[in-house]
Amino acid sequence: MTEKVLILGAGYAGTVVANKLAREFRREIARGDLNVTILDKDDMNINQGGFTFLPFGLYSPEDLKRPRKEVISPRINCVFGENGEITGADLENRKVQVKSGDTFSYDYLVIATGSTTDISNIPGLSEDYNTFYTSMDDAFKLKEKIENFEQGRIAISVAQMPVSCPGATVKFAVMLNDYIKFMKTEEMCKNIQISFFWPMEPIGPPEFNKVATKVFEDDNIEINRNFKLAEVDSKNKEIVSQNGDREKYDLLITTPPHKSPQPIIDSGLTDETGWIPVDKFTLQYRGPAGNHDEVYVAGDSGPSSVIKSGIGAHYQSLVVSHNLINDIHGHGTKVSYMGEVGCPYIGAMPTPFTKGQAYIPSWSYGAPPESFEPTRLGWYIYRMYYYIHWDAGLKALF
Amino acid sequence: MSEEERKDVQGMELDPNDLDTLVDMLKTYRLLQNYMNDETLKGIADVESSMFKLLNAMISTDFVDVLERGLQEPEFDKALLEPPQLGMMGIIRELKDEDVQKGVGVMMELLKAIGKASTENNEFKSRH
Repeated sequence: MTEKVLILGAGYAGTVVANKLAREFRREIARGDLNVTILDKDDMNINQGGFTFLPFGLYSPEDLKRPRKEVISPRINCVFGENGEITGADLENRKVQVKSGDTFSYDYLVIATGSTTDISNIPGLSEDYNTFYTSMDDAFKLKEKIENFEQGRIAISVAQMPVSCPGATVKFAVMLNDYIKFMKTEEMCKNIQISFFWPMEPIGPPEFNKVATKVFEDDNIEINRNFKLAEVDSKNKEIVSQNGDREKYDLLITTPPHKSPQPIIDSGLTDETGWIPVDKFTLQYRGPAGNHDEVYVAGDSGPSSVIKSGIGAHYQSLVVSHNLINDIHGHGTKVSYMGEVGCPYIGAMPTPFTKGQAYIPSWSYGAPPESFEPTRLGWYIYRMYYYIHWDAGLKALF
Repeated sequence: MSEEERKDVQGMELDPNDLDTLVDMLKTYRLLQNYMNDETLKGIADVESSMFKLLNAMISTDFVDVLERGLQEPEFDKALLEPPQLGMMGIIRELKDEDVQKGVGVMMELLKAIGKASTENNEFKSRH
């Protein structure tokens, strides 16, 4: 009988798991002993991490998208569109429903549905919503606003945690500062203030916070910590924190709240934090729908306690793949996700006055990042990554 | 070499020649770094992408294993030393051999797969 692996979501994590299984089980798939199916509502893979750079012209849209089928092994059964858009998951009966009305059954399930943004969670945000976070269109609209901005206060707000890639907004602020110095006249630069609003006290783990704080101070970017965005008063151009603090802005750039996709919430798979709970080592589902050893979770769909980032998704996908491979071989060996994660940091972007500098600190559950400094080679490695992402990361080569 | 000249770097003993080599490498790296920019790194990334594609192809198929074994067949070694000249009749005669038939079958599937992939590749590239 054919064993069935069903992967929900063909973003980064789902694609890595699919490609890893396709390589490992090529003989089983060819013989018809195993079927691996991946579902998604659309057929284009977008590298969201690159949106941060779009307003500064460092990448173009063609660098950041590929048809999903191009980056997924032809050994995988790809179902995209209405037949791949998940509307519900019933773990008890091992069934997944899709928008077209079809149902998929499985022996093993991988939930890699990622996260989605939730603008409605902040009253008034939709009335003055400028972001690089959500789409290429939004990033280009923001680019235009930055180019036309002549004076005043630019407020960059991370509304609340958790968000996908929490460091992206930090990088954006540094690049925006360098970009303004490059693109605007000296007089304009004197009249533009960048203010950074962060919902927590530290900006990431201690060493990350140390470097980010220093670079912001050197760049004269004002830091406002513990500012959890509660409301946007677009009429008076003010943002309001949960503590009732009000701050003026002339241009507001927001990283919106994130949440699990609605069908995942509606299927009762999430806990009180709104995210999917797992065994933090094996990444097997452990939540309100029961304990399910045959269900794995990878990427941004996972619990709120695990940082949501592309690098984390990569390491989780490798562990999920390996555990699935072990399960299918039937020997029960388990490998563990140790919390490996990384967050690229940018110290400067290249302009006629600055050299690009970056670093990619890494950490795990019990080991915070070591001290680091952004370097020029770090910038080149980081920039290069987005070009090789499609053929190295997504293909699960290492 | 005197003990004073040797340096202890994180538990690793380095003598002045080692340090000279390291300094030379760092200075040479600086040369490379100074000629690198965001445009040249794109070129390097393109080369790497093609290499990764080939690497993925190699590690994702048993064809490499088949080639590895097939290329070491003693009969193939002999053929390389003294290439057999096969005419039309010779080819027809060889086609009665079971291994040749299987080889033709595999190559025929490879041809089909390349044809299919070519069409798909054109579709993908038109959507970039």
